[in-house]
Amino acid sequence: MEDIISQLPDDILISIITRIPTKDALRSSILSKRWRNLFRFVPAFNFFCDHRYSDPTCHSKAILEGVHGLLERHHAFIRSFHLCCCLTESCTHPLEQCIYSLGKLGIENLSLWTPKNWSTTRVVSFSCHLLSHMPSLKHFTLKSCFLQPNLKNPCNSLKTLKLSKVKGPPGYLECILSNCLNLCSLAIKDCQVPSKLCFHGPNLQLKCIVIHECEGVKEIELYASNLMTFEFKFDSDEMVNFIFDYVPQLQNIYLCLLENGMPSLCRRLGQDLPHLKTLLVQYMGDPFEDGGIDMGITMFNNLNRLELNISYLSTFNLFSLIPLLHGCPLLQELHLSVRPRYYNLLDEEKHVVLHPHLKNVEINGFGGTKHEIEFALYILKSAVRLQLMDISWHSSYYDRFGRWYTQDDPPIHGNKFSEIYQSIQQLKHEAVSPTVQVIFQKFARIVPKQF
Amino acid sequence: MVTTDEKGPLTAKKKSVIIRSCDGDEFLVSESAAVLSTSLKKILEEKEDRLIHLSDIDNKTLAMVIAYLSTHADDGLSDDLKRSFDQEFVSGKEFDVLKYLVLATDTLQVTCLCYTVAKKMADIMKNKLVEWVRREFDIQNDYTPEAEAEIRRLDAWAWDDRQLEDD
Repeated sequence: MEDIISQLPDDILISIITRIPTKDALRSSILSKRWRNLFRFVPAFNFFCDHRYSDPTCHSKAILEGVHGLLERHHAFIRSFHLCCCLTESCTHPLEQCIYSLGKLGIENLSLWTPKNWSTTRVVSFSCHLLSHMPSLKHFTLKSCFLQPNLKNPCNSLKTLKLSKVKGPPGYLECILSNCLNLCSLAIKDCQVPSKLCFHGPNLQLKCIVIHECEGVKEIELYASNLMTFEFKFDSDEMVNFIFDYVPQLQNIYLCLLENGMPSLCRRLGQDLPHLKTLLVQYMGDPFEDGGIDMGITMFNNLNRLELNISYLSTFNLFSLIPLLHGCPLLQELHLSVRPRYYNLLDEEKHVVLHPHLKNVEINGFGGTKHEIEFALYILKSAVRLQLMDISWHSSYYDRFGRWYTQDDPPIHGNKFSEIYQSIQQLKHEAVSPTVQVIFQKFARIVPKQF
Repeated sequence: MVTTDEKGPLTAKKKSVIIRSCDGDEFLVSESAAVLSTSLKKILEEKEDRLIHLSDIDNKTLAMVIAYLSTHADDGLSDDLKRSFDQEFVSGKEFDVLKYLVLATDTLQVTCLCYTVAKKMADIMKNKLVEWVRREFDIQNDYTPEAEAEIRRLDAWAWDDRQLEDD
């Protein structure tokens, strides 16, 4: 047998070793002389400290010092650098050394992570002035660290920033926002934030703000002339007040909340944000428990996409959604995933209100009960220009950043499937729109609309 | 994902081209599939000839590449189906088959297949001891013991072999 791999051209071998963890790629230099220097041309570094869960005995400092040595001897640009390591206070200095080297190597995409369950009081410090030493950095992800807000020079290249489990003195976020002048997207998760979180500034370029599980936040004020997308997720009973001071471009809102009171929330959003195009609401519990939305009130004059993910329900009445649909006269797309234990069978008369712009309706978690079939029928009778009704047995849940996933519901058996399939085929004949396609399948066909 | 120029004069017509391998066999391929290869696209743009001779790609490899191109040119298939096809396509293939495949995709400039195959080759090498890789691919160690020790010494922190596989 001949040595089949070493005959490949350099760029292919480099392309192969770029795709293995960098520690393995480094080890490849010892295979033979042919491999000696290939590693020095790898454009992406990827390090893991081999601890899936946090381990205070990790030799993280030695690893970072070693990585710094490699960076100093590297022959090519490094565009992407990903490190997942048990970073402690003692790593602060070697980490800074690595950052200086990466800045010289043209880094664009940097992420610094810690393994799962990382909890230590002696977290690594990341000094914001390091950002100005990476003049080509575009995307930065930082997890579990203490942020030192000592940025004096502006950082013009950074476009997206994700912070997770980050702590810092008051004002650390403001420091970043006022110095990273081209920042388009900011995501903060489980970070230390003040009770009143403000995003404002005349030069704020932010197009997308995502806030997840930041404990203690009570009020969020937005004065951001370029903001287009806002996502907020908080698994807490606490009420959070949103103040939309000046957000003329804000079109997409994604809210994942625990509290009830959907009608008042919708009225607020409708009043404050007349330009809204996409609205996603994820609720734990019945959003209409305290009362429904009045029929005939227009709330969202420009909304064309509505996504609803309602979970942890005992009972639900699908027809309680109709006034909301009616409140969105231009709605084109509806994505609905509800799976309560029972449906409320209220024997009331259902008025058909036309939804003339509705084109796509997706219903996930369809169990084939009489109530659900009636609801599907209602849509087919009222959406005169409907093109597609996509129904699935499995429900889906909204994750974040616009992504949905299929739920792990009990599988559907053959008989049940054909039973529901038959009843849906029957429905088709009652559809008002002549061109509508009605589909029933096991799994939700999730079209990623990630932002 | 590979994108094709939908408005280009070549893709607009539903034509076919003939591709001949170095073994002399000829394959009929739709033009929409052929142009997914950047090199074939260039050849087709430059000359009228409908017969392309590839002097360094054998029958077996060419047939695989064409199967890949045809699948990816099929507008009727969803991206999910294409992705699972890609997975199937590289799974279970011998290393030397992959080697010829990666060389062919490099020649033909089919970037996304080249990545898929390189990824598969990388998966084979991942988390393996140096000795395992040498044995498996019959790589001759031409270092002197001193030179090898010197390299190991330079990045000593990276030579913690406890977690690596040797089978």
